[in-house]
Order: sequence, then C-alpha cells, then structure tokens
Amino acid sequence: MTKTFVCIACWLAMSIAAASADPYQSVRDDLASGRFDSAKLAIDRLLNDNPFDRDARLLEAAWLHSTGATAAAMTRLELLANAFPAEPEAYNNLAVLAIASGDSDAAEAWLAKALATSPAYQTVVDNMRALQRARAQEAYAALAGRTIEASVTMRALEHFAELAACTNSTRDEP
Amino acid sequence: MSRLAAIIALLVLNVASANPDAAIATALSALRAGDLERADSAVAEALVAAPDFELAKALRADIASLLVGERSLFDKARLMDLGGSEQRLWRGYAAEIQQRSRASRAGQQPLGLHAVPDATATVLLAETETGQLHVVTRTDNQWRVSRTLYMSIGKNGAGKHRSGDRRTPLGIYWVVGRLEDRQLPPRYGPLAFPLDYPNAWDRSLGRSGDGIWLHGTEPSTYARPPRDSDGCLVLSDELLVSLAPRLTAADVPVIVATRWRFGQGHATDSTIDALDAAIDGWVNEFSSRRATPTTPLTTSDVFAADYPEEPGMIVVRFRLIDESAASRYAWKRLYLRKDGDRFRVVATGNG
Repeated sequence: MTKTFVCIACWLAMSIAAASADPYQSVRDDLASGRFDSAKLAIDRLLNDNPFDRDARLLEAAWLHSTGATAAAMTRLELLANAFPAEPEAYNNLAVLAIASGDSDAAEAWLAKALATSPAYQTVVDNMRALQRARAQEAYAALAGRTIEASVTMRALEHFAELAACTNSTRDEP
Repeated sequence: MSRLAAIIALLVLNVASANPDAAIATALSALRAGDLERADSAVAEALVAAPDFELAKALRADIASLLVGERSLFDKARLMDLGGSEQRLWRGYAAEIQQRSRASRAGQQPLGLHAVPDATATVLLAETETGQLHVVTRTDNQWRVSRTLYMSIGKNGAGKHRSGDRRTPLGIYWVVGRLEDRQLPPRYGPLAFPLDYPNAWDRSLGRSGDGIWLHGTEPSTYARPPRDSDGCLVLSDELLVSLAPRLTAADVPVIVATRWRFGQGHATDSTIDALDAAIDGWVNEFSSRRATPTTPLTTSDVFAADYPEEPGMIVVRFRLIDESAASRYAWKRLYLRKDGDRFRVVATGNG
C-alpha cells in the first residue's frame, strides 16, 4: 500500500512535467522526497501567482494525496475537471486515485471520461487496459470458485499506478 | 471414409498438435493470472486443433475486448447488460468455464470401490455436480484416476426419474454395447456406448426411461455446454475416440454420482467378509430353490462398490457359474443394504 501511495504521489508529480518543466520541478522533488512542508509552500506560491494554474492545482492534489488527504485530493481534481472538461489529465488522475481507494467502477467511469476527451491518449488507453485486465482476472477467478488474493490485486493496481507514472509524461495525442 | 476414420486419421496426422481441452485449460489459467498474451496464444492453439470449439471462440472475443480496454464479457455487470438470448449464451459459456476450471482428480484414489474383477481394466466415474468424467484405472494394484474429462449431462441436471425428464440417472451401470458412426444420427458423434439404465434398483423405485448412452458431439461443435443432453453423458468426439479402446476391451462399470469421495484407503476386511457372506447366503438360497440341483454353484469376477446417493448401500455384480448348465454362467447383481454387521439383499438383477 505504501509503495502504491508513494508511486501515485510520484506519478502525480511527474504528470506535471508533461505540461511544463522547471517551475514545478522543485515541488516534484519535494513530494518525491517526502518534504511535504516545503512542497506546500512552493505550491501556495504558484497558486498565489496564478490561481488558475492548472498544473499547480494538479500538484496541490498530489500534495493532498501524499499527506493522506485522498478525499480532498479527489475533490480538487473534480473541480479541476469541471474547469477543464476537455482535458483528460484530471479524469485520468481521478481514476488512479479511485483505484487506490479500491473503487474500480469509479475508476472505469473516470477513464471513460478521459477517453471521451482524448481517445488516443496512450496513458489513458493503457490505464483502461490495465484496469480491465485486473477486473477480468477477478471475473475468471470467480468463475473458478477462487478469489484473487488482496496482495495479487494490489500488485495489479501497483502496476496500474506505475504504468501511469511511467507514461503519463508522454502524451501521444497529436 | 467414415467420420470416425477421418478423426483417427486426423489424430495420427496431428499427433503433435495441441489438445483443445488442454489448451483451453491453459488459457483459463492464464486469464486468472492476468496474462492475456499467453491466454490468446493458447486459445489460438485450441482453435487450430478444433475450429468449432465455441468456448474457444468466446474466449477469443473476450480477450480481443480486453486488449482494447473493454470490460470482460464475463464481468457480472456486463453479463447483466446483455439481452435475453445473448445473455443465455454467455451464461452458458460462463458455466462451461466454471466446469472446465475445476481441478483434475488425476492420481487420486476413489473411495468406496471395494472389489473390481481382474478382467475389468477401466471404471468410469462421472460426477454430475462438477461435470467431470474420471477415467479410473489400475496401477500397482490400486485404482486411481488417470484422466479427468469435461462432460455434458442432461439439460435438467441429474437424478432421472421418468422418461423424457432430460435428467442423467444416478447409479452404477455397465457399458452394454458400441454403436458406430454409420449406425448413429449425426448428433451423437462418431461413437456411442449404451448403458444399462434402468437397472433393477431403478425399476424397484419406479424409475422409467431408457437410451442413456455415453456418446460424442454433433459435427457443428467441438463440445457441448455443461447441461445440454436429454440425459446422456456427452464427451467431445476427440475425448471419446481416445477413450474408446478402454470401453470396448472388457466390462466397464460406469458410476454416476453427484459427487464422489477420494482419498487414501481401501475396503476393510470386515466389509469384504460381510459382502462375501451376503453373496454366499444369496447363492445358497438361490441354489436351494432350483428344481434339480446337480453341481454346486460358484461365483467369480466380483465387482462391489458403494451405490451413489444411497448411503449404506453397495451393489455387487458377479458371475454365477453352473458347470452343469448349457450356458454355464450368468451375471447377477445384488443391491445390498448394511444392516448392523451384515448386508441385507434389497434388490436383485441380472446382467
């Protein structure tokens, strides 16, 4: 669980790199190293300069999740999704947080929204595939009268989150 | 060339090709492990060997869905969303997956098999609840399951009572014939082995019907759904053909039970002694009723097993030999119920 937690924090931080580089690097580094107070100060500065800074708000959600306030992080991301309904990032991030909370139905719904905005966004496509693969694994195990051990499911979900971390910075959509 | 000959030729030609049932078992195991690539390749192998394998086609469709990020067709919520006939179809596939995912009993020892004649090389043991047909053979003087096969049973399940109820009978029967391709309508596949349902115990309970066979599958499909016959036991043609030499060679008992017990153990001496005493008692009584007894009657080739769904009951089948008679011997069956330390005869039959 801890690994997933850190991984999501890393991923949320890395996802900012897709949109912009240096102004956010120190925040990413702070979050990755667990320097949450320092990260918060930097995020507040960015938001003071520009309250509508989408990437700063994504970082704020990452900070909230990293400090255990996942519900608040999701609320921030939902507000962000409302503000940028045609952008897939907030939906995709909401999906990953939903997976971390064990709600695969919600994750699927968020990923479907992300795909509706950007059908060729490779990260979202891969995340949806990973989600459906994990769900199918459970369905086939249930048909065999077996249950997937929680640890196995978590490994699938960790893979899901790591996948996001590895690829979210590469948006293939033209 | 008959269809059976064609299948045998195909088996010879494709001796190295995949067994479709084994390939599907591999695919299901890979899907449970989340390994879509291995599942896809196993399904492809199954379809090369058996292009009409409906479940393999369904799995191929499901894997294709998953690869593009769609929900599995076997996900409960997605199954619910399907319309009437489509939902029935996919529920049928789900039931087949459930049945095919059950572990093989290979290597295990069935309990309750007290005596089997030396001439009998194979005992078939069908479990209707799991849909598994176990091929039981003798190894080092112990009876063990050598293969577990997927089978289909009656549309309405097991426990036949009357003609036309589309249920598979529960009991112990013997293979009494072999019907070849040319003698069979296509829906029975290339071979069929009639069983002797109803036996004396069934008749004593008023059970009716007949024509319960072990047979193959119609040409349009590799395997039938788990519950699909009018009461017969149905195997894929490939499995039936591979089993045929064992069913033709000698007397083959077919035990049909909802579930059977497996484990270590054998009949105790006291059980064997009590069974021997019951047989001797019946033979003596039968002998005393003969009009002109000349030579003493003897017995041989004794089979004895617990009777399915009848706790405390054992069926004994043996050869009754009369050296003075023209026909020399007859097969007899006794249905014995445990009564304290002894067995009491509750029904008798021939054959």
